[in-house]
Amino acid sequence: MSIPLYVFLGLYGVGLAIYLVLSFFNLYHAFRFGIKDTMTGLVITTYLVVTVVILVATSAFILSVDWAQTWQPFELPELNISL
Amino acid sequence: MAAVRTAGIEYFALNFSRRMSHDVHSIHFHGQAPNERVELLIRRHWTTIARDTFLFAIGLVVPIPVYFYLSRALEIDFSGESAVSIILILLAGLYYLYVWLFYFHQWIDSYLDVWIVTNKRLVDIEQNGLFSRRISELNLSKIQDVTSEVKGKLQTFLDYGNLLVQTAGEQTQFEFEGVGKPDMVAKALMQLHDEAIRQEAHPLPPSQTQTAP
Repeated sequence: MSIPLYVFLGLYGVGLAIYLVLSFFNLYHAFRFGIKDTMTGLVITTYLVVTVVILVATSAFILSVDWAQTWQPFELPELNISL
Repeated sequence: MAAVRTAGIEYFALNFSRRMSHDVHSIHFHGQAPNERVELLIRRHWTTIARDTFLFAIGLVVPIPVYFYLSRALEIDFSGESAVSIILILLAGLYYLYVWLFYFHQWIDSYLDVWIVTNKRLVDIEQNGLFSRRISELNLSKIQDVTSEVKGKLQTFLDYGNLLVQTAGEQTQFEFEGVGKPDMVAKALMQLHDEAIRQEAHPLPPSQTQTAP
């Protein structure tokens, strides 16, 4: 049984989409309800910078991979049946 | 009043944002009246986020022994050429994103809990998760009693505790947990209460009313 790697890329995309939605909600609350002070700005900026760094690093890796290759999680044993 | 402002600014300089201190009078919040001036900005003590910071640090470190185990015991190649290594690297990327998100969310939940004390009222803003927020307001003149509590060794050494404000309003008690220097804050609140009572008894003419910038 072999699974093409782009399936895992799709699953990663789903996880990333959920992350972006949750990040949006958190950032919205920080902007909407946070007191406009230096600490709030610093934390939001740090969050965005670290997120971008992780995404850029992961994207660079994703672009270097051949997603058409497959993964065989396990190999079925060959059956030798002689009649 | 100058002593109260000094206490407020000094308190703000000593709280969680101590290195980011600036004049509290320059702070503006949603719903602030034109002639209303921020005197105190009270946030939770840094120990309230300490547990989440510790969990975040553990979360950062956990993949390292996992990596060593997988690469040495199971001899998995992490060069990014084998299918297994590609899948594991993707998983690691997602894992660190969510660990970072978790810490940011916990910080927001803690940082958005704030008491804003102006020259007229006390605004208690409590954030519970992302979609639950409670805002209570209290006229300073309705404060009847302010109690500061410091319980236990940790609170004593780090000088933080709880503040309880008894009121004559509909909500009889306001409580703020995890406040730094609660005795100083309690004293500042009573001074502001006394000033609010004096202003209600002898209101200033409109020409002398200080307006927010």
